[in-house]
Amino acid sequence: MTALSTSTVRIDQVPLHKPWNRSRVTLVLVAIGAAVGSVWGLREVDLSLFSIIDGWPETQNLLERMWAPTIAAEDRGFLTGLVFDTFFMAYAGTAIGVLLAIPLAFLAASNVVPFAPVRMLARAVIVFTRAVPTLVFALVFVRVYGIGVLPGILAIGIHSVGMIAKLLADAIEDIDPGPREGVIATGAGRMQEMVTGIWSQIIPSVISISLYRLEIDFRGAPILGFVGAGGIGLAIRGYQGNLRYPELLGVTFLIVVLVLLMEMLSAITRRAILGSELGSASIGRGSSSGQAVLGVDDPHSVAMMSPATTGASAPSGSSAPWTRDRIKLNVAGWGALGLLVGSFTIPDVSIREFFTSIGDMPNVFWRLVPKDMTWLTDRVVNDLLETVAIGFASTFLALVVAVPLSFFAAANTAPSRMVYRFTRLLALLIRAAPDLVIAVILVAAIGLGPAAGTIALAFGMIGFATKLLADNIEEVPDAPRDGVFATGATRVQEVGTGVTPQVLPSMLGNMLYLFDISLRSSTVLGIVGAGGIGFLLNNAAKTLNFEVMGGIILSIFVIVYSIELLSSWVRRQVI
Amino acid sequence: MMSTPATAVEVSNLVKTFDGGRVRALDDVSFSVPEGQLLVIIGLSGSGKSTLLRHLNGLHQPTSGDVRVLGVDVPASKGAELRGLRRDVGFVFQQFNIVGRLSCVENVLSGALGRLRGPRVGAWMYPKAMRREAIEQLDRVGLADRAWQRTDTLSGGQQQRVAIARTMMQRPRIVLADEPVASLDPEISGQVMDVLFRLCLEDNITVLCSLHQVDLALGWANRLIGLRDGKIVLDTLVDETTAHEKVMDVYLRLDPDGKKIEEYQPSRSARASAEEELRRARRQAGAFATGRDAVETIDVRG
Ligand SMILES: Nc1ncnc2c1ncn2[C@@H]1O[C@H](COP(=O)(O)OP(=O)(O)OP(=O)(O)O)[C@@H](O)[C@H]1O
Ligand SMILES: [Mg+2]
Repeated sequence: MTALSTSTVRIDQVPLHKPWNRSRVTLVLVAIGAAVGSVWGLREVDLSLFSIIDGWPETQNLLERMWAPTIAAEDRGFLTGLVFDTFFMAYAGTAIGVLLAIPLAFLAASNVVPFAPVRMLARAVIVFTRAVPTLVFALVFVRVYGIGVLPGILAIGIHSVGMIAKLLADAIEDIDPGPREGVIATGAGRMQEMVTGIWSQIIPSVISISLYRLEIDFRGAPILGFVGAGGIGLAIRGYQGNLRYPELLGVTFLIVVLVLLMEMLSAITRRAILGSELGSASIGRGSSSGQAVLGVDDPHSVAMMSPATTGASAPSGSSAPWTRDRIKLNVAGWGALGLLVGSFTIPDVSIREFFTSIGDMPNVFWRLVPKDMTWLTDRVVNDLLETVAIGFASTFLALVVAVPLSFFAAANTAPSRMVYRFTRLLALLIRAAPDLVIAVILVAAIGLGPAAGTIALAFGMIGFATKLLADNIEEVPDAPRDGVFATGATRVQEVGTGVTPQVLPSMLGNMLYLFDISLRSSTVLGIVGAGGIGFLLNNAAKTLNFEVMGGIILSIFVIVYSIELLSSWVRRQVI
Repeated sequence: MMSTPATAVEVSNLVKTFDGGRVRALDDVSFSVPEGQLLVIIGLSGSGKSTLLRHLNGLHQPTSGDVRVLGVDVPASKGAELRGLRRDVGFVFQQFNIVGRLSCVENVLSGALGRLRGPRVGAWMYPKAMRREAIEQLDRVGLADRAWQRTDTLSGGQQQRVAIARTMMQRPRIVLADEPVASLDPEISGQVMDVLFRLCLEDNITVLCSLHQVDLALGWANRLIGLRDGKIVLDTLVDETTAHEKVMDVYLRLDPDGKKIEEYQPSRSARASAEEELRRARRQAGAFATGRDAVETIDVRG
């Protein structure tokens, strides 16, 4: 006990308050910023409890007119066709995204390209395509290539490139740094060899990222029809225009079922391909629903497979034995190719048209570049602000519900197994309804404007937020909780002291990520009249005013990207 | 129990099986601990030490047998009653089980949760008097100068001292410690055990502690219990004359190969007199400083 009397301070010198440090200051600043932003946002979109209560009779009225949801008999063939279109559009889009992303990822990886300007250019492409929502690309491409599946494929493809390339570039940079010195010193022969070497190591990453992206695109595809880009969204637009509400609701349910089915399908595929030893260290904890991954923006949550596992099982030469994994890989590969062929034959996309359109892409982007600043009108500024307001307000509303709910949806904090199952299912179902579809319904109920968009976004986000945050809670180690528990604390106290502080950093990260997502989504709400910049964007598209579109897209990019930079800064401060 | 001194822990015929009876972790264990005793449980890995301790604060349900702690029938109690018992029974874990992201003070404060209602997330949610008390407890383990430091930035020994301060914050009557120094190096282990036993003596707290290190056990314990395959094979009071070799010998014989060991039957009269002695010893001021009075040693039969 003698060795312990080393404490040099007197007890009364120890402060009774926690001293301020960087991470605490940041946390408080973030909290204040979030509070101010939320209050401002809610006022800006003119949303209060009263307006919701006031609007309720009309909503109820509308719901009564919508009930019961139907699928019109004469539309069945048409709808079936659209369902197939949606599926193949998403599939082909993701496939193109993957194909374009692979070279881009190599160009963006510091251990492949020692040349900084090339890397930065590649990173810029990645950042831009990631920040602009699929629906915005679709809006542009529909104007250029006409209504149909082709612009949808292109939009999905171009937007997917960014995320896939980012994750893949990170995976490439994570692998064995050994070859790096070699590249700097030697010529092309060596370079080729290295790229081949890296390729064999990142195959599992390519597979897991592609599957993950496919899931996202399956979710996104049903709404592309809103702007004329093919798929089931066309039906929603049609019914909305003709005020055929029961049919509208019927298609909404159809979309929900479709999304759930696709999710199951990708979960099965994921398990089949990645469940083998090939993917033993694979991405995410695939829940029963197969939505495996946390923040898209955090490549480390999409844990890449270690090169060690893969080196052993990746097909490395023609003489490799036919192991189970290799067979699986081949089946998957041929299956993927078959589906791709299907994508171009079943929805009737001309291959020639497709390749011309790809070649035409630089021209399209050039037309979008604003040559002056006339596009930046007061109305644009105003609507951009409204977009941000919707982002704040909807994130706030979603979190108010999702944060408490997430504790019920986490296996380790839920009061009972039943509650846990129910909450997870609820989150899954809410998630399956695309927010834009909800926005369409709400616009019909409470009228045009940002209030409808905010509620729609918030509602759609509750499911996703609950799932993300619950996953965070489930990751918390048990030992510290046991420590608190053993002091005789109640269960609520145990969660408060033993879980909350541990989960705070990852939750905060995901909350920022959710804000990011809602901001992106709020840029397109205006397309269905639910507030924000989307309205002007849609108008510019209708009048073929490419430079205005370009200007607006650029400002969307600036806003989304600065929020992303801000949140990654916050994350670094707090973690 | 019928004896006059208050009984802190009374275990009788405790049996615990896992995996539907295939693993017999505790096999008819009976013993009782008078208040104020410093009891050390030794035994090889897998002998059932943790399982035994976990029955005492209701973390395990017995397969059969009785467990009474501070007069409470542990297996039968639940909810508020069980929480009340846990407040009186501190638990020190091998892996410390502190919340690393919180400061030392906040970890210590969590020991006072049982005295409060509702959840607490940070230090600011506790009354000032409690914060002062927590800092005092930290001072007792020699860490007042680290009060607001993040606990996971401390060394292992320091983290365990924070955990001990948290336990003391509970104002427990019994402390259960499950191999509290197993993940620390020998020198630090000694320090941490010193802190634990010293504080418990000062506050007159009964201790049941499982340990691997016989040396440490001999330094502080009034009594040793040896477990093997879930059975008590040794129950002896300890004094300065208890030779290390002798206990080591016993410890070695806990090994499954030591075929000679048979089931141990405690001698009631011997224990009663030993307890008498102990109480007297404790009444003498600073029992630990003056050294414990000689108590009888019970042999292992066989
Ligand atoms: N939850 C459990 N499920 C199944 N078996 C268990 C469980 N807990 C303990 N056991 C078994 O009970 C026996 C006693 O385990 P216990 O952890 O009590 O031993 P121990 O003496 O604490 O060992 P150590 O020194 O390694 O901590 C072992 O055979 C162990 O495998
Ligand atoms: Mg143990």
